[in-house]
Amino acid sequence: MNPRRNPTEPMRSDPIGSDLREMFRAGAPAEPSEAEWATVLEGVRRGLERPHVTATPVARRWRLGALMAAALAAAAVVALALAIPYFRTAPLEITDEHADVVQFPVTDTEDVEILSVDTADSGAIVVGDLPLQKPIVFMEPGDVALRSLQRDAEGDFPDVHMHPEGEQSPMIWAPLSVKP
Amino acid sequence: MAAVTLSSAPELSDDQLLARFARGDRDALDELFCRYRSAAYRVAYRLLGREADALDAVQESFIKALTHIHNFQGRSSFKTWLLRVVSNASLDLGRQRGRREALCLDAVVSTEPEAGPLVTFDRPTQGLEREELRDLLQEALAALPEAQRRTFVLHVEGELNYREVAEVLGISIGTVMSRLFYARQKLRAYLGRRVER
Repeated sequence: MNPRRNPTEPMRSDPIGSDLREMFRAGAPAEPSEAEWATVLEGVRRGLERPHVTATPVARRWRLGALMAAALAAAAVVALALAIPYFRTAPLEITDEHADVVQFPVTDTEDVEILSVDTADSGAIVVGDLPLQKPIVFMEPGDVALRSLQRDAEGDFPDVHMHPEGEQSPMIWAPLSVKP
Repeated sequence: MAAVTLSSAPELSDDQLLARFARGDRDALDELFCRYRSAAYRVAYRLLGREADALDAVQESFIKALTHIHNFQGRSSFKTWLLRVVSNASLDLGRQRGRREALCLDAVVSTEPEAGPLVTFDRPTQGLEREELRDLLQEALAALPEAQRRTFVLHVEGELNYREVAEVLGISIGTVMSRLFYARQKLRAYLGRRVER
């Protein structure tokens, strides 16, 4: 039995062994002297009193923050102004950068046989087929019927593509507009 | 410099001491330090192998653990948090100072046993002075892969149970058990070269 073991811990076979534990107890490092401990504690106190980051005066921090916020806002406005024409003319094209990558299966289902799994590790292993074998299609041409359209509260009219070319799904999106 | 003495007052819980420490109570820091300094030192020593380095690691770890106390509160015990910091700091310190021994157990096992003092598993201290045994154990620990060494040291010297070691290292209890099992095998194989038969 391991005398150091937490009594609330479930009983298990001791993987260390009492002989090895005894050997480590017998060969334990000598305890530092009280003077050495006092030096270490003093170092801890000094370390805790030392500021960990260079303090910036509050007023200077406020000005710095305001400047950064203004710069970020200006950058956002410029980026938005550049992006609006693009968004107005065409929907954002979503591409899969890995579409052309050929995937080589490492193993097939028949290649793997699980002999045993530790209970504690079982949650990390998923056994079975992948739940998704292909991209999810929320709707296809023909699934959506267009009944009416009207302008929104801002007076904008949505772009509607009910029969896009190819196999793409129908899309409806509101145009971006800049509000004062 | 005043010597640090262990308090005999009624024991406050770690949480109570930490709350007092947060309010600036220096005595609370002293009590926490006295409570866990030995375990921290043993872990650091076993991972570093030298007293001075271990004391440096203990000092640095108390500072880090208390400075970043908000990272652990409510999720584990202070001791678990502290020993996590100690083991990380010890390994960092060991790497920085370049004294991590590149001792390969396989190479050692494949060679003939070295001449030297013998120990027995029945009476481990027989034939060895404490310092010799300590150095021998350090050699044996250095022969373990880092993950096994950390796991073993946290369990045996840090006196953390399996669940706590699993928390410290971010692994499952099954992995802790497995590492301890293999660590024991390798330690026994290494030390067995010195066993009197």
